[in-house]
Amino acid sequence: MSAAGIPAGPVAGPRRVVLTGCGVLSSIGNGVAEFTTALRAGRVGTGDITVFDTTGFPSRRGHQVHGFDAATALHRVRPEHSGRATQFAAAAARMALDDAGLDEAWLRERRGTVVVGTTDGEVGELDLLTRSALAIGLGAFTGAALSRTATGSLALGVVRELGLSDVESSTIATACAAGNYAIGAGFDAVRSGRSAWALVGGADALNRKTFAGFARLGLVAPDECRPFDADRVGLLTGEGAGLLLLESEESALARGAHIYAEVLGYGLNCDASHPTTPEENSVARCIRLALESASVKPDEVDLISAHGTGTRTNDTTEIAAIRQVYGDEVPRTVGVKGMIGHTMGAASALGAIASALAIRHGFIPPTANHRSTDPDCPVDVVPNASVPADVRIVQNNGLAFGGNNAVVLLGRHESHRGESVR
Amino acid sequence: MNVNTPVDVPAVRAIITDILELDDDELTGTSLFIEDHGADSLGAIEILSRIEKELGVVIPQDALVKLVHLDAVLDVLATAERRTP
Amino acid sequence: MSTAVITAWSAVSPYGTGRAPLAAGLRTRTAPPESAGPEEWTAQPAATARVVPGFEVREALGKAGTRGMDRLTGLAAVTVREVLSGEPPAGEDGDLGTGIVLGTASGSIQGFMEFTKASLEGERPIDVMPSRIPNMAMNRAASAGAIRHALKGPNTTVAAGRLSGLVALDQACRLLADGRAERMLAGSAEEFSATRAHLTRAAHGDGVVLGEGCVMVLLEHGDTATGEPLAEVLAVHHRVAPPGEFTAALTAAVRAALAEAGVPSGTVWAAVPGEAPGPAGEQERRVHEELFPADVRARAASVALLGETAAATGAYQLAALLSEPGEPGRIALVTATDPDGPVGCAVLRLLTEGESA
Repeated sequence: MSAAGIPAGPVAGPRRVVLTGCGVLSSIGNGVAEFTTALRAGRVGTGDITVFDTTGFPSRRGHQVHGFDAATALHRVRPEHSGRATQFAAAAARMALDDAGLDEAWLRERRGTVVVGTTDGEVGELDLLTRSALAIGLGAFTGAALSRTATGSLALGVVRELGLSDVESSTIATACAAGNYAIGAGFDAVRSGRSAWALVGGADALNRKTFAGFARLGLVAPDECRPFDADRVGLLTGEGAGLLLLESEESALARGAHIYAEVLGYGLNCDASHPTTPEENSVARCIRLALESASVKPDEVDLISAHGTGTRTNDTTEIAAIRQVYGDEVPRTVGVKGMIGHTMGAASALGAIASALAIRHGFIPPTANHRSTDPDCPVDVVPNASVPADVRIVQNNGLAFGGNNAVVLLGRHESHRGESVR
Repeated sequence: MNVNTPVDVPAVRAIITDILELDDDELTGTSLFIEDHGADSLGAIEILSRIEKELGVVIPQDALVKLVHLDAVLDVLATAERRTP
Repeated sequence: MSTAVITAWSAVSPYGTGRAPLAAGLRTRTAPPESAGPEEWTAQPAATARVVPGFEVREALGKAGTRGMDRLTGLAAVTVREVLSGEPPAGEDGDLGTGIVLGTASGSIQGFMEFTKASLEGERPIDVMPSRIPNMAMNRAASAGAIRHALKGPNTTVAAGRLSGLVALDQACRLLADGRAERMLAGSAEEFSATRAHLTRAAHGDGVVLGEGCVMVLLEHGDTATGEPLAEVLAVHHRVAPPGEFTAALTAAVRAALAEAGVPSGTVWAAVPGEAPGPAGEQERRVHEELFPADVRARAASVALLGETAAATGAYQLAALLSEPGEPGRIALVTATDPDGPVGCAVLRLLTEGESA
């Protein structure tokens, strides 16, 4: 569809956009069923990282995906020709498609949008290339390396895996908010009628480069990530993928799809102040933009899925920003990174899926590893154990290095028209 | 184990003036890295990192907040541990 | 819904800094000189490329906030400065309504590999360069441009190989159309590095001459634009070709873009292909031969003049159109073809007589 023209199609005006399929790879489980069970149980997926050599690092703990067999998970993308993050994106997209009760033919019959968010793309492949170049010199640069290391490979992996062609595809590399950026792009594409469906989310694979960077910054926790805890000392790097299948409400109802949630709106902005330190007023503005986009008032929000990295600075700044918007009536605010680690570009996509599961199944996933809440983070973080709750609207935060903020609002979808959650 | 040899003050000064891009006479014992010299949090980490590497010591990460001026760096170094290979 | 118009543009290119040298070079069809690239770990001493002459990040931008900044970020930040030159600096609250969408292939791969090398070779694996850590996020270039000019609108980094420039243009137009920003800077960038040269030559042959640079356009709503509209973005359409078979998918993309723009193929005044290396570029040229007469194909400069500019190519193609003189109202298009599959087309209406020579 045109960049700026009027969308073609039978439905006039913006469409409502619903989430009907989820694909998940995470340290606490692969597939949406395992992920749901683990979130409800408050399972923590921390372990020793084995995807690269951690010898000599102050800690080797992180959140690695286990039980992922690319050869089984992927039908078309060849594992030997693609990097780990691309494999994750493609496999999670296939899972989302299956979960939505759709097949490739359905996608091929309609124009669609594929947007995958990421922090590192295939930096893991560049790590390997670096090691080879140091060992054998310039012969390490082979003909396939350019494509393999390209960041666009993630979205393209989804397109190739599902055998698609009439699809606009891009990878969004806005670091740790990229998942929410991708959801926003897919939301706009479906809402405007430019695309009939969107497969959007995020993927990242553990790699040495990013592990070394966070370790050098002193931001890596020695044992567990404890969002909003008084004694928190940092994050744990993680990997995974979260892919969401979005379609119009009309499409989902027509085919009798199981609807997790409605995407109500989103906000994007940039702190434009510091490369690595978040800025409270700007984060608050992003939250307001998202609420406005979704036509949601703060008192209608039941749950905030925070960025919640477990670093001193992020958590204090984020909670202060939330309190600017919500005052003293802050909804329960959880950090799922205690369970799944910081999955970088996948983080806000997995946060969005966790939010949708909270809406769909009526529970609030806990903030794990919690001992006592930081007085500077005075909110109910739902420590350690999930609680049943009637969750209608969730705010999902993504905050990135570079001051790139993205906030997505999800709401319960009421199947009878006129009983919208709004 | 503690560093028993005296801290190499000129080396520390050289690292700090290089990172903060100062002339030597701009850096005093108590001129503040952030307020007076325009450094940010990454500058402090860079100072810590370079000192660790070039002087062969280990500075605990929680000392980072103390590294506000040259004298404070020298104080931290006085109790820093040598790197073990 | 209003259409998006381009009201300013600039560049950092192998012709030098700013719009004028690039526009003059393209108009006169003069290739920029080749020179030696920056000194790097994997550099081959005699290698040359069409690099931005004498470009040093800290000389170009000053010392403040640029310690450790990579070349890609420097090129993008200078381009943002050039596009916004002549505007008063943003007030205390910053420029809330202006955002950036920047296309890149993979950030600074040279920087990433040097960081990993430091981790592998250091006495300890965390002996990496702290000042380079901000570069480790691929959104560094887009966010640095925002930080330097207090641009607090949406700030997006897109990676779509050689489609990056078109995808950035498309995303920026959508953010405007959806009311998420008042003005958007859109463009794409590529740095020269020894690593990129090795990767490119291994994939596409030793004869490839690399180029680099960054081009950005400033987009505003057509009905509220404060600057003089230089061009109107009528449509952007992209899709993915089956492996190795670009012709049909690119033809479909061009037809879809023209249909969305509401202009017949016969009215196209200029068509600029992306000049991808290998079969992708060959098939793209044949599509142009099939769809457009020779004079249409020759009206604007070929981006091949600049060398292989990868992710920056799409933005350079826009520059080629915006540099070419002619009557207001001309319809022009660019196509992009990525050897990995993505293909696309953007259709513009050029609204001025072009740059005066």
